[in-house]
Amino acid sequence: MGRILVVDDEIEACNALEEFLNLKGHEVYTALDGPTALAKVQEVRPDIVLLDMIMPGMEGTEVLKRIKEFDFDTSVVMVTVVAEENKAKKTMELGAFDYITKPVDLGYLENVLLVKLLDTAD
Amino acid sequence: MTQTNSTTKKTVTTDKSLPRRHSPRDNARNVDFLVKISNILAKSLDIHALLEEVIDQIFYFMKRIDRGAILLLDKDTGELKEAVSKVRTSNHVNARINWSRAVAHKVIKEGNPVVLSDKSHEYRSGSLGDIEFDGILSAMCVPLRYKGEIQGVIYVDSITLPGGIRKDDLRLLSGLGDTTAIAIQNAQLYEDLKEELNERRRAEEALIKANRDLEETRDMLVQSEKFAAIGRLSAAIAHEILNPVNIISMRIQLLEALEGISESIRKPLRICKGQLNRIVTITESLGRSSRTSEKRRVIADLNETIERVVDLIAPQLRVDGIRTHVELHSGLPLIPMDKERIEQVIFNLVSNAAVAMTGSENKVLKITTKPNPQGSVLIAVSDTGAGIDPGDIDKVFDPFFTTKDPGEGTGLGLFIAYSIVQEHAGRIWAENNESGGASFYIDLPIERTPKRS
Repeated sequence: MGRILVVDDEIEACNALEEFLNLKGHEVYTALDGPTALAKVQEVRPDIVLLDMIMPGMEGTEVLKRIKEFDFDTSVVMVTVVAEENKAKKTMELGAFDYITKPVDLGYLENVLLVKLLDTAD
Repeated sequence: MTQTNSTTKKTVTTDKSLPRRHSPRDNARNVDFLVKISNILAKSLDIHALLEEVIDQIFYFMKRIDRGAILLLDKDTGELKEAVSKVRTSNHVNARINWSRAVAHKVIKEGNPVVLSDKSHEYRSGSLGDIEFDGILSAMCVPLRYKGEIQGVIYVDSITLPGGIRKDDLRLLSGLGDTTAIAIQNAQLYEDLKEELNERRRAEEALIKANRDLEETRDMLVQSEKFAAIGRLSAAIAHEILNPVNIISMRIQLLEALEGISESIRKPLRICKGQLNRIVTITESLGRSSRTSEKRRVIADLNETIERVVDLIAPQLRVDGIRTHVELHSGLPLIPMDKERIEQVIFNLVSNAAVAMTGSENKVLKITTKPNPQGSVLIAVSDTGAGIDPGDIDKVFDPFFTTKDPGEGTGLGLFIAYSIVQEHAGRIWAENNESGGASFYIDLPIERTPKRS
């Protein structure tokens, strides 16, 4: 199973995702803002970052760019509200691995993660 | 009047040489004539009708003439134009006659009446050449003069009676000329006035139209401003609403994932999820720029869409004590639509109707569809609620307009319905119905219409 960093400015969103991912046997870390997230990425080198698009302070897109600059083997999955779907699609060009929309379908999320993790395992 | 065909050798000159007394009969004739003409002239403000009457009366009173015309001078071109003409043998006014141009022009030029007979000097000298050529035996022409200005002439002649024009005929015609000239002037003034009034009316109409256009444009601007405001708000709203929805949704999913959960708990969880989806759909429709892409439109059965919505909401309607009558026309044509969005419209209208009937004793929801011969389908959603305040009937589709208690309605349901129907190039409107409630109508075109810009 993977090492996953959940980044969302809403603590309850982080908690729910953490609980779910823990249930699925992943190693889960959380961050409530961009700078914390970047520090965590350097610290724990996660396989996957679940990154909220809209956050106060540093936006998800900016966090994504910086993570990509680290040149770690870290995949980023953007999490966005439906209305921002078009913006999320554009993050794929910036190097995001995928995007999922809020409300998050946990079953779908698990599939996305598994696909990436299996990919990496190969 | 005393002349007959057999004694027609009198000439104008002869007439002149004999001092003449008017017979009482002549006087009566003249008075009668002038009274008649005056009446006509006073009444008529239409130049053409007036001149026709004048020439008819001339023929009636002057038995000796057999052709006549009234010629008017075109002030701009100086051209003499035949306004009306008449020939005795023909019943038609305006049977064209070959009036003597030479005579008419002489009158116009000199301003005096001209009387001619086959015996007169001018006739013989050929100075008025066309007369003889046309076989005219007697002619008389008087100017139509108003305030010294010659407007035209009255011309009469005879091709059967030589020297057939008498002096009192000339007097009569001269008098008539003056009166007619005044009448023509009046009619002309009247026509000018009429034209001026028409112009003014046209200007007024143009102004009214311009005003209306302006109002429509303003309404459209207000409307698009509203849309723009909604657009700006919606992204923020969507974000603010979807974040908590996301958390609730994930929590429900986590609960559902628990083992050993009984059906009595699963069921409410499912309902919660369904309601969350509603919220998502609404925020989605708000968030999306107010137009759907054409791509999402498919040719679909509206009845099916309605049935799906009714099935979905039926349990809730039963709980609310609402009886539902659905009458869907079996021959309804398929229409191009974004099924999800039309579902939303129906859903919003039905929800709206359900809330409207909260306080009613008899709660009946009626949904009907029928084809409209004009190439559209008509959907009606009627309730037995309290109806819409007539003052509000235009406002019900405004965003954030609500009569519900705070917290009960967002005031967006009907606005969204309105926006979606607009996207489909359809029409939506509200009316109060016979049962005291409100009816909402949607008219959706069968044809795929080009998207409005």
